[in-house]
Amino acid sequence: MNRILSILFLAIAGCATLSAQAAVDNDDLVKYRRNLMDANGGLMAASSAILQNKVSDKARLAPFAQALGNLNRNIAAQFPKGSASPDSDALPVVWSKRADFERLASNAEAKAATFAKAPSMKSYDDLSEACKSCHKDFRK
Amino acid sequence: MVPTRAWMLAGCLSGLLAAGPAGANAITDKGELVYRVAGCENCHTDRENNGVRLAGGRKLATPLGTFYTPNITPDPMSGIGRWTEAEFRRALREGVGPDGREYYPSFPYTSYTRMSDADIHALWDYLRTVPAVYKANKPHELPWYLSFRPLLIVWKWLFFTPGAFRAEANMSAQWNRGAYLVNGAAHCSECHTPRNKLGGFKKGAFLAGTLEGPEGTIVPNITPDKQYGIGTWCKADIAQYLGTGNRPDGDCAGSLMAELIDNGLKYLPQTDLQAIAEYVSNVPASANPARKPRKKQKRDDF
Repeated sequence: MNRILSILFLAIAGCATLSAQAAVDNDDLVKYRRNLMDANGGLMAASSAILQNKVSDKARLAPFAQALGNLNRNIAAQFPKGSASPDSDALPVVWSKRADFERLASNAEAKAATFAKAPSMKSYDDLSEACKSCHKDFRK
Repeated sequence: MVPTRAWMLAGCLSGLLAAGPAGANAITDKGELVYRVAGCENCHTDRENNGVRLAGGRKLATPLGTFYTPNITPDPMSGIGRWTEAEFRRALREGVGPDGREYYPSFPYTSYTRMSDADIHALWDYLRTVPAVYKANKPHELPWYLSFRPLLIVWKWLFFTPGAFRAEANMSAQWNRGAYLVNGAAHCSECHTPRNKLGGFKKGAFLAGTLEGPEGTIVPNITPDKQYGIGTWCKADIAQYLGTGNRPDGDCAGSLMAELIDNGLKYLPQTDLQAIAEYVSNVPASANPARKPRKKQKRDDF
């Protein structure tokens, strides 16, 4: 009897630990996603300032554009099933309308790749439009 | 000849028909321009369920209950096909339907009342050109005590001042133009001004943002407060954001604001976007922190 109780206790303790671990990991993932998006925003703002000749730091445009291309690769993978959180700005439709979300994320990836190859005001605007079209339905 | 201030104000008062040089997306049909700035399509189209344009049915969840927008196509049965222009004007100006029923302020007549007669006429003409579609209207889902519409007469007495926009003679034509758009057709304060428990605007908090926006959204503070508002944005930043959705920090508009820009504001002429920027930059700053606090990150090393 004692042995059965011990096994049960260990099983429950194990489940509790695993679920706590999952919660921590999800918190980390939400923070990571937010940092990715903040990095995207910072690079977009800096690129825009260069493209609009607000600053004369043209040498950095190519590396910024390159970084944006890399950052936007397979961004949908950072939103796995079960990673919704009240701390996240991602709306539930990210998971309930997955195909639409992935289509728009792929579009942003393609536009970021184009901007990385040939940074210009036009390719910047296209990327920005792609970001907005995804944020419109999928972000709070 | 240098135009006098009075002349410029008269131009401003003639409404969106006075639109200046076209922006990148500007459209020429005056009625369509009013329609887009007023955001009719956003609310009266159930985009989430692939609804027909302007046939209504969009769900608007608010702290007071859930509203479903009506069909405003010219369909005679379910839309506004049997309305007269005078009835349409009364709906926008006074918030009263052709049958005498009071409208809930989920329909922003509290702002549309500021529109000029010319703009209302242009909007009416445009709406008559939209294909008529039969789609029955869905009743609102409200608590029982709000279903009694005559109560809205009291609400209006408390919170609604009808009447077209009147220019401030001591302000510039650009400022007045911005004031006309922000407080009229563009109805910015309907979302950006926090409301009290009765659904009226909170005093002294114009455009100060709210955590209880439509559809559960957080609506940002857009006053010139440097910490909580957009006080660090220059006027060109504001105009650019309204025309493209691009924020100066590299982020972009999302959710309802992205819809408003895509369906409406991006079609405004540059002069109007600049006028809105001029006006919004000069409203009183409010230190209302209308944003979700970010979880504090744990630091192990301190």
